[in-house]
Amino acid sequence: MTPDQAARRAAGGTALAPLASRTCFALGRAVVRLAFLVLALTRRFGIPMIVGYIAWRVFRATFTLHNVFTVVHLLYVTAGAAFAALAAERILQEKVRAGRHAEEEDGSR
Amino acid sequence: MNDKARTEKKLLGFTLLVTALGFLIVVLSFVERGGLGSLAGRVKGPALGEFSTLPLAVLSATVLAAAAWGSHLVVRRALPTADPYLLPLAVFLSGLGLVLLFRLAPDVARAQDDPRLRLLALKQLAWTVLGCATFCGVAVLVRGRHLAAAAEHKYLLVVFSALLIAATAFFGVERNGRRLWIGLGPLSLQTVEVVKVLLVLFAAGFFHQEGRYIEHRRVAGLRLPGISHAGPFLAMAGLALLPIFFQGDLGPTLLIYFSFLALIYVGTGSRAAVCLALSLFLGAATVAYVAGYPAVVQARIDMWLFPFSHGETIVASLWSISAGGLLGLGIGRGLPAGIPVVQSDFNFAAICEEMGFVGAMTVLAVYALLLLRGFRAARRCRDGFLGILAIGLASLFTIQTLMIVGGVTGMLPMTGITLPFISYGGTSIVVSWAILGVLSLVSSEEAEA
Repeated sequence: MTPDQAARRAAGGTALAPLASRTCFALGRAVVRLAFLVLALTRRFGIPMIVGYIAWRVFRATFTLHNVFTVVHLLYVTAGAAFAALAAERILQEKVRAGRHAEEEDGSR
Repeated sequence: MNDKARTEKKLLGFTLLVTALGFLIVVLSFVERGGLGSLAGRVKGPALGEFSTLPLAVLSATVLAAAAWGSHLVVRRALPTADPYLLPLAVFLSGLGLVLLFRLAPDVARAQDDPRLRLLALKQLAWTVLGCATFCGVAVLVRGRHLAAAAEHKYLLVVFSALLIAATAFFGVERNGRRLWIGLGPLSLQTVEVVKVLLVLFAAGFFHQEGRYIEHRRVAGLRLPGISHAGPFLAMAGLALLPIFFQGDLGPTLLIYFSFLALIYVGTGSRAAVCLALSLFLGAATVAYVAGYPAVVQARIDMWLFPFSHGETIVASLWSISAGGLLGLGIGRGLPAGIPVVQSDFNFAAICEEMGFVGAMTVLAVYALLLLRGFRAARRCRDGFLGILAIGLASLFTIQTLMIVGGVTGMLPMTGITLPFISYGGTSIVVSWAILGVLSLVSSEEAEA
């Protein structure tokens, strides 16, 4: 560390850098938000941007790990039940088809 | 590709999709509990070095899919007319068992303070692959005439079974104070799992060869098979069952006893004989309970009648089931690891807790379909011996499922047997797949080749 740097640190200079970066970041964010606001007020981009913003907020609020887990869990339990139901349905269909086939054979005789 | 192959392919695809979802939810549950870092968390394995959770999940799902698909291709080639529902139903149950073990293993290892238990899922995966290979082996190599030739030596089968059980009692590997396994190098074989199949083969052979000669007599108004014909069967059944009973292995004794009853009914058509055997069983159980010998009978019945004052196992299982509700807490969100031996005997309680009533009913429905297809194969088989054998094997699955589900839910005394295809247990898994192979064989037109 140079003597100059040491003097600046002693005077609290280190705090200046984060403060400056935070200010720049806040200013940048304000500019971007203003730009978005201006665009949202235009006829061309207004409605898609508002819809997009609402969709984004809804997504942010609902796309939590807890909810994803719950959805996948429900999907798993339902898919398991659907598998059992599908197998049972196919077996029944097969039975009906075999019965119809036997009836047709009887009829042809 | 015929209709049966197409049906099997579609159902198998669906099953593998459901299993993949199961593995996904287990991975999500790991992230939910331990953050993303838990996926990369190292699990120490004594023989396999270190591995991470996420690759293990992907590996398990992939290996199971490959084994199942391979079995599908082999069985369609070897037995093109085999029942197309048996394999997908078994894969569904195996997949569920793997997902459950994958989820339970870390918790069980922590609860029992034994890091080796973290490898349960990986071991079960290896056994499942071996089971699929056995299934394929049966489909390709075994035909009806081979089984009939084995059943010709039916009395030798019983003597061999009794010797196997005796050898296990004297030279077996001791675990939890019981000798039920025989060591084969790095593996251990639970002999009674093999013996139960041999004994069903004996009974099927006996009733096929002797069934038509059995004369019935009226004893106290009951139409019973004559002792001159039924005597050899009873003597052999006694010789087979007593060593297992005195080994203290209550579950397999009852399982084989009830399977014999099913075969007695099929072989002789005598309802009175079945009722008499059931009465004898209830009488013997009552005497054993009152006399307190063997102690295990009294302990199990007390646990069943007074669960809140005799041990905590059944109570823990009942709490677990009640926590599940309609749709379950979600895999990884429950606390089933608190139930002793949840990985092998109390899987059904874990299913109820984490997948709820719907999940439990799905599992029971899949078992019901599997058993119905087994009995259907028996009914349609033109070979009398294979038909009786299929009934015996399907009865094994049915009685095993009823006994363990009844025990876990407090409807029957707990007997400590595995839930076919789902519970942890290497020999049980391989033998279940071998039985499935025989049922597939019986359901096909190639059985009599």
